[in-house]
Amino acid sequence: MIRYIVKRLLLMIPILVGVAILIFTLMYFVPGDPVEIILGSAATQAQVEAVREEMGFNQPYLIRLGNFLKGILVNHNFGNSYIYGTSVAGELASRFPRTLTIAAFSIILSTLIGIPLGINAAIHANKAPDHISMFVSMIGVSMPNFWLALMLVVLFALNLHWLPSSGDKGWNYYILPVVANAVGGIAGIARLTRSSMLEVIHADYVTTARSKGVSERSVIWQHALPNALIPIITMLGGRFGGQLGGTVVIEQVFSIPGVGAYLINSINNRDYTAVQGSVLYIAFTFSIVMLLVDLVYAYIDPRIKAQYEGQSKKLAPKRR
Amino acid sequence: MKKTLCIVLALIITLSMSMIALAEKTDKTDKTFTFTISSDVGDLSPFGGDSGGRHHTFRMIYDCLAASYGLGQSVDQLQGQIAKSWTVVDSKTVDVEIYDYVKDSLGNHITASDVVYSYEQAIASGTMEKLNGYLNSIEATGEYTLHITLKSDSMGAMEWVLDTVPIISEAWFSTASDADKTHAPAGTGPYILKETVADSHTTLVRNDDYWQTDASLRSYYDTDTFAQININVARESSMRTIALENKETDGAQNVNAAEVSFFMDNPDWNVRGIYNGRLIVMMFNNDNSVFANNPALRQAVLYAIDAESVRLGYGYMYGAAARDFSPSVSGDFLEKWKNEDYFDYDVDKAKSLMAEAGYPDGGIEVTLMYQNSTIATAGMTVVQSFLADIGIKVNLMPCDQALFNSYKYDNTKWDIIVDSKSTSDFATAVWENCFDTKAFENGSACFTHDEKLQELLEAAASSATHSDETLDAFHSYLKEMAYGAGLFEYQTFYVYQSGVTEAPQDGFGNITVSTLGVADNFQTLGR
Amino acid sequence: MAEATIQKVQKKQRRIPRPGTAKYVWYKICRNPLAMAGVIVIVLLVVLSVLSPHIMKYDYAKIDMSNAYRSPNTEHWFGCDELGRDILSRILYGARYTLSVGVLSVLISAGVGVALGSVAGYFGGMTDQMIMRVLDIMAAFPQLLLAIAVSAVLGTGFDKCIYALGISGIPRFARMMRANILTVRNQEFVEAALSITCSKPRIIVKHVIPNAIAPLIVEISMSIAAAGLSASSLSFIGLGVTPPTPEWGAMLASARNYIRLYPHMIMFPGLFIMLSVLSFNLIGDAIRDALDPKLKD
Repeated sequence: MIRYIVKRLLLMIPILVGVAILIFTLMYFVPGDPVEIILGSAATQAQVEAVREEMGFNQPYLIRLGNFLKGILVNHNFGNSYIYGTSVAGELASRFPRTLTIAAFSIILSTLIGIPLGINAAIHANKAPDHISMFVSMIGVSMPNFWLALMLVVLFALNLHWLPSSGDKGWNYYILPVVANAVGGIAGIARLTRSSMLEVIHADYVTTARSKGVSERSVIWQHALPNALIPIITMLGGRFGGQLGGTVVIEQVFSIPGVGAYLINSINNRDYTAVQGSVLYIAFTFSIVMLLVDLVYAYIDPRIKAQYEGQSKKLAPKRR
Repeated sequence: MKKTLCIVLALIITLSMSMIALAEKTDKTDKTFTFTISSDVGDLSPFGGDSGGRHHTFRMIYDCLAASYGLGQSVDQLQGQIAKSWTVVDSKTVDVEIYDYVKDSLGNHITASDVVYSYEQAIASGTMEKLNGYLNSIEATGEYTLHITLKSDSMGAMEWVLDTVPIISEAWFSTASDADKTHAPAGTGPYILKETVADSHTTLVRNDDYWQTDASLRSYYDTDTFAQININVARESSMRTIALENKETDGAQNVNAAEVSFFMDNPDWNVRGIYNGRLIVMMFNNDNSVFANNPALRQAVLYAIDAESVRLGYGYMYGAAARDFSPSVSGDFLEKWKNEDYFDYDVDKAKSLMAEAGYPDGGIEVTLMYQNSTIATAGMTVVQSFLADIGIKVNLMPCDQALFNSYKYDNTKWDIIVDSKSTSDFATAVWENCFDTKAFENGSACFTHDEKLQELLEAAASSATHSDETLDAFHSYLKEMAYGAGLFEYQTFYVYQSGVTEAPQDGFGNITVSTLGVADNFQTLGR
Repeated sequence: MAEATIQKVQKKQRRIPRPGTAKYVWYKICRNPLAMAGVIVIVLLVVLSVLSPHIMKYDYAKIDMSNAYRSPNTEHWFGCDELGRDILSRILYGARYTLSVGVLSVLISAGVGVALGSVAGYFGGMTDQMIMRVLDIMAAFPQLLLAIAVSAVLGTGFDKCIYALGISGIPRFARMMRANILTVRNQEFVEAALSITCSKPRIIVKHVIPNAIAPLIVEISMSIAAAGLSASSLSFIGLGVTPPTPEWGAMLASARNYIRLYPHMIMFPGLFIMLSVLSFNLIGDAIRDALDPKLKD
């Protein structure tokens, strides 16, 4: 198992280097640079040109790419932000917990609501509770999350005064962002839970359990659900990536200084170092989460575990 | 028994007296102000890059030599900060004497050599290129005296040199880490940066050991009414409105003019609409487009646009059509321009000018570049529809800030450009910024190659020949040639809770929190 | 009206078509009232959008500052926007943009993704490695993030938004297709085709793809809805489709400044996005039910 984890971690390196090259190349082709933004609108053309030269924006692609990769691989440093003057790595380290908070709590919230909703729908398949909960969750998945966010702000901050509208000065500032970000996930998970429960609910072992007189509650939660979980976990892993993306917009709406907001502002300012750093950070997290998802599979499903271990055994002699 | 009672009573009285005294003291020191701005404070190190948010913050952390109280102030109207006095020797030379008891928040003593060091660092930082264009030399002539010479005698140059450079101590700056410079700078101002979280909030606390103890010698920036100032960032305009209405903040900058009426009608709020020296201008590509060498066509376009409607399209409910290529708050803006015709909307005239220009039936297609925002797009849509009326098809080209900046000097990218220009002092600053040939590779910001224009500009901008006549000569010639024109200026809105009694505009057109006057019973709303 | 249509269709199709055919999918959609409602909404939006310049009283682009911010009334059912343009006319006209952003971008993702995935899955070896490593890199970005990065390069606009969303969806389709091909490849009918010396491209096109197509169609139908939402997110952060194009996401983006006093400006485009995405989701669900035998209940 450890071998498998190590192998996956090693495989991540070339992918992350690839991500670094890809994002660098994309940013290289984005027209415009941060010089004028740093200097302000009063700067003249000659002044701008001088600073551009000094900062190395006129160097050829390969040299700039080389410097960038060298910075990451040799110095383990993303460099300093052009706009803020601070270390990008430090900035990301202080911002990332906020993004992770929103993404993680969104996932937790959508799981806590989505799975029971899906189970309920599966138990009452094709009856009114099924149709209602599926239709409601379908509406949830159909709303743009920032639109929902603004509507929630109007309702809960402006009209009811229950919650603050924007900022991040306490846990209560995270309620609306998490809810707005989670709603799309609830629907997805509920729908998947339903279909995956339906698959197992008629399986022989469930019928057997029922015939043995096991209570219905225990049949559902102890016999059917664990077996229906695998596709749900896959989806949670994928959704986590979606949530990381979704927070980009949510952070913008709620003025939460996370990685997403940093990324968007940096793109607008052509703050290259910051863009590259935040994309790598997100890609790294995403890859780690996907690895964790695979490990959880192995934990839940011994068949997959056997497969992983088989793979690493097969690979091991080759390396030696 | 009586004795004990007496003692107890005495104790109670002393206690309560001291409680009251304490309460009074805390009441005085414990005022907090929470302010919400629309853009991030950015880099708060002494010589960090320019940004709107920084403008609302850094003057509280750092003192400069002098401060400008309002727009369009000339050198003798400046208020001294670190400078005790200054003598203008000639239009390019000024001698400055600084206070001999200046110290930064770490207690480092500031001398003339620190001032020189600050200016050197400001130029070395690369973020103060305008200063670089003005400053020739600065040297310490004594422990507390300085001699400053300028490269040009442009109007506003001396003021700019005196009132924009944060002064810090060499002892601190030369040894501080990057993180210290941005997150815990040792400033010379009345407030200390306690915390700054990019894109979120910044906290300033009063420097209880502020060096200028004589309040009568302080500049208006340096009043320290509040023990703590919280600056929150909310980029979404609707979120600023809601934060105000939800009483999460004591004031907000850049409140949507379309929604500001709500606060105007409400006694809980004070609304301050100000012209901040900003002007929306339209310029033509005078080098490589259909507009080159065709003044009639340029005029036709300008006459065909009702600038007031464009302003409303932007959502600026309060403002005025421009009367010159400079904002009317400029210190040298001529009163008579306000009553002259300045491309006042006249579609018939535009049509006859089109005929004169050789396009009686229109049939021109042009690209209009502007800096992308939803409000600007709405405004440009209005321009598009006005120009359609005279047979000009306009293709809108919205560009984000960085792209806009790299395309604006490229004469192959656009035919018409709409940009925002500002001045903190004189009309000539805007003119020079757009038309001074010396500053551009291809003539000017709109690629003009007109020697007469340059001559008139130099005459108007030089403080030696700056006069109503030279100003008017440039104004009239530019209007006649119509290389570009001002479209409109607009009020930007600050909304404060009713406890704020006074909100003076600073030398950059903004309102800085430390300068606010508040009622005695002021209580913060902010959370 | 929906019920009447359904009954009519039901009468016509007494015989249940063979599962897996297009007819069967349609049959299932017709038997599912929600999916049918989705189809009707989408068709109605398309028809109204095409007809809107002829049937609407107001031009979608006509500026009238005197009506700016006007609340809904009998003249302007959905009110007017910040330039006094009739919001209902803009929404109906703009349906063409919003609907086609979703459909076209998914077609690009699916087209390119299927081609790459089939090639990788069928040929294996180096080809597979090359393609999949590049796709792994792309897939290391959350999808919206990739779309943001690509649109930063391409710039803003209707067509560029489609490309950006299209490109960002490629890895998902390619991976799915490759997995499907791998399962199909080892089945008997492919071996049979090989044994009669069919050319490889011919085998892919004629035999492998058709057998992997059911999950693909399910994926496409579900992705259209998601792409519609991503498009509006892009508009919101200033990329993607920008105003004055009356694309609904772009309308939301410009209306969001006015939610305090003029909420109607953001309400209606948002509701229409919801309605159309909901419809695509309902249709997608029905298609999945029809094509995925595992989900029979």
